[in-house]
Amino acid sequence: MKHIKNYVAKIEKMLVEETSKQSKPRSKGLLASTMDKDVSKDKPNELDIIARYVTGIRKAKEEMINGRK
Amino acid sequence: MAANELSPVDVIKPIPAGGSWTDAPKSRAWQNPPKLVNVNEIAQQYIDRMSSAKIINSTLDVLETKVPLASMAEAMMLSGVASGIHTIDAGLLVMPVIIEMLKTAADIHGVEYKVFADDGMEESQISERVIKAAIKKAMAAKDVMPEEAEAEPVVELSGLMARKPTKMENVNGI
Repeated sequence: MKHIKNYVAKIEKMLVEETSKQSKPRSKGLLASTMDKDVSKDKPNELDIIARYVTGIRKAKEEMINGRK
Repeated sequence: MAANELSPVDVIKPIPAGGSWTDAPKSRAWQNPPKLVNVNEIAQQYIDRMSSAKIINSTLDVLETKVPLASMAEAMMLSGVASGIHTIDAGLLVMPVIIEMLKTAADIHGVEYKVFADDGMEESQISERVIKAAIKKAMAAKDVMPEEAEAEPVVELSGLMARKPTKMENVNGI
C-alpha cells in the first residue's frame, strides 16, 4: 500500500507541476524560440495518460457539483 | 461425520498432485493472455464500469463502513486481474484512476472517506504494538515484586464486658 501511496503522490505532483506551468507567464529570453517550438512525443508516457484521466475526472466532478448548486 | 465436527487440520488438506490437470488447459483466466493491454483502454473500462448506478450504490455502501479508498480500489483491480481483463502491472498503473472515481462518488453523495488506512495518523503517535509491549512489561514487573505484608485487621471491641488488650498484657506481664 505504501508503494501505491507513493505512486498516487507522484501523479498528484505531476498535476501540480502541470497547473503551475500553465499559470506561469513565459519570459522572452534566449531560449524563447526553442520554448515556443512544439515538441511532439512519439509515444505518450503511461503516467501522462493516467494524469490526464485524473484531471478529466476532477473536472467532471467540479462540473457536477457546481451544476447542482 | 458432520461438517462442524471436523477439526481445522481435516478441513485444510493439501491439494493432491496433478490437481491443475483436472480441467481443460487454458480454461482459467490466468492461463490466458489478458483481454486489455493498453492503459487507456483499461482506464476507460473502469470509468465505464464505475459510472453505473448499481456499482455506485454498492460502492457507497462499502465506503460507509470506513473502508479506505485505496484498499477498495486494490480489491477492484485484483478482481479485474482474476477475471483476466488485464495484468496486475497494468492494473497498478490504473489505480489512481479507480481511486479518483471512488473519491468522486463519495464527494458527490457526501460520504466521508479516507484514501489510505494511515491517513490522519501522526507519525509521532505510538503504535499499538509498542503500547502492548509496554503493558506486558509492566505486568511482568508487577508479578516479580514481593507482596506487601498485609496489616492485621484491627477489631474494635465494643460493649461493657469488652476487655482492652493493652491493659491485659500489662497485667499478665506483672
